[in-house]
Amino acid sequence: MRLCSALPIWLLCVLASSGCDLPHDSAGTLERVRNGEIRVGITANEPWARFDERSKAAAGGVEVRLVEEFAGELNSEIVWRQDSESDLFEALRNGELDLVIGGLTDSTPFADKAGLTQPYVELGKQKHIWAVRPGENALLLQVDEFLQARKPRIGQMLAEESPP
Amino acid sequence: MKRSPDFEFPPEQERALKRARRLEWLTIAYLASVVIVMYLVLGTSQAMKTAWIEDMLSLIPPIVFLISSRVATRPPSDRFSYGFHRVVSIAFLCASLALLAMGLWLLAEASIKLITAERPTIGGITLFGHTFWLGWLMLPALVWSVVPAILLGRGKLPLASTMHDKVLHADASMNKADWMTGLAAMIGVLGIGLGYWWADSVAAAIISLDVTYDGARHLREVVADLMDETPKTVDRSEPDPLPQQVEEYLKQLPWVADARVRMREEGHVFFGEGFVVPRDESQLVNRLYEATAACCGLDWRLHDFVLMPVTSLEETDTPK
Repeated sequence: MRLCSALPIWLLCVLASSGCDLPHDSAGTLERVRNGEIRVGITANEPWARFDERSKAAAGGVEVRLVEEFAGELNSEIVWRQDSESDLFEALRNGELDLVIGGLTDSTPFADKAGLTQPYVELGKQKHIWAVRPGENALLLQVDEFLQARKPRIGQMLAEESPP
Repeated sequence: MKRSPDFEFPPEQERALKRARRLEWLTIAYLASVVIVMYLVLGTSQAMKTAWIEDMLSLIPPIVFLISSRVATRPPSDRFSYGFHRVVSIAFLCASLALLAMGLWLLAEASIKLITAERPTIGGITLFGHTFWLGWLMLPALVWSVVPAILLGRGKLPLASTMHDKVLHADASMNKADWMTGLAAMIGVLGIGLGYWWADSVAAAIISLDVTYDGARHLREVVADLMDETPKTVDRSEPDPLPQQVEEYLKQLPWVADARVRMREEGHVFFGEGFVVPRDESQLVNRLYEATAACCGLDWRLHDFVLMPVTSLEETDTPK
C-alpha cells in the first residue's frame, strides 16, 4: 500500500481507537460543570422561563424547572444570566455561557452560534430546543439524553404552569 | 450538402456501450440513495455537508453520459453535416464548470469557518427510544457513500477505454477516487468527536480542494479538446498513436512519394485530413478511394478521413 493512502487510514484507526468514549467537548465543559458551576443564559418567555429582576434569579417556568433538575443530576450550581436572545447567543459563542434556554425553537436565527438539541416538545408548528455552547459535544449529548427522557412529562408540566 | 458518414459502434464497442449504460443507471440510483442517506445524518458538520454536495455533483457525469451517448451517434443532418459527436465535449464542458464552481465555493466556505473559528457541534439522535451520538450514524453513511462508488468506478474504467469515451472515463476515475473524500469526512467527524473542532473545516477544505482540482483538470482537457487538440489516449496521458500509424501506412504505399496527416477528436471518433504527394497521376481517384478505406480500416475510431492529393508538402505551397 502506498504511503499516501496508508497514512490517512492509519490516522483514522488511531483516532477511532482513542475515542471509544466519544464524544468529547472541545473545551471540556461537561467535566467542568460536573460538581462545579453551570452558567445558564435565560430569556424571559412564558411559560418556559421567568426571571425575577430583584433577586436576579430564575423564577419558575417549565424550562427553568428542567434546568434545575439537570443541574441537580450533575451536582452543579446554576449561575443565571438574563438577557435578550441575540446577546445570550453571542455570549454562548464566546464561551461566556454553557447553556441558553427560554422557549427557543429550532428556527432560531442564531443556530450557527450554538449547538442545538433535538426538539423535545412540539407546540403547534414550533419545535422547542435548548442551545449549548458550540463545540461541546459531550454536554450536548448529555442534555439531549436528559430532555428526551423527560419528553413524556412535558405536557403535564405545561399544564401546571398555565394560569387557572 | 455532402454529409459526414453515419456512425455506428463496432460490435465490441456496442457491447461495452450497453454495459456502460446499465452501470450508469445503477450509479444514478445508487447516488440518489447516498444523497438521501447523507442528508438524514448531515448534522452541522461542514465536512459532511461538503461530501454530500460532492455526491450530488457526482450525479452530473452519469446523466451527461447517458444523454450524450444517445445523441452523439445520431446521423448527420443538412444542418449539422459533421454529425453530433461534439455534444459529448459540450456536455463535459458544462459538467467541469459545475465542478470547478462548486469546489471553489465549498473551499471558501470551509476556509471562512476555519478562520472565524466556528465550532461545529454534533449532538444526539433519538431512534427507537434510545439517544446516541449522531456521529455514530455518520460513519456508516460515509462508508455507504464510498465503497459502492469505488466498485462502480472499477467496473466502468475498462469500458471507457474500449469505447474511447472521455466522459465515462472521467466519471469512473472520480468514482474510484471517492475513497479520499469518505476518509477525509470520517476523519472530520471523528475529529469533532474528540474535541478537535478544527478537524471538520480542515476535512471539508481537503474535500473541496479535490472537487476543485477535478473540475479544473477536466476543464483544461475539454477546452483543449474543443480547440481540436491532437488526439490523446482516453486517460489523457499521452498522444494517441493513430495519426502516426496512418501517416506511416500512407508513406509505404507504392504510389505515394510522401504523406502528412492531421487529426482531431470529436467525441468518440477521430476526424482527419491526409495530404499525399503521388508519384504519378494515373488511377488517382481509385487509389485515393482505396487508401481512404484502408486507413479507416486501421482503427474503428477513425471515422471521417479525407485524402487530398498535393504537389508538395511544403508549408509555403498552399494556394492563396
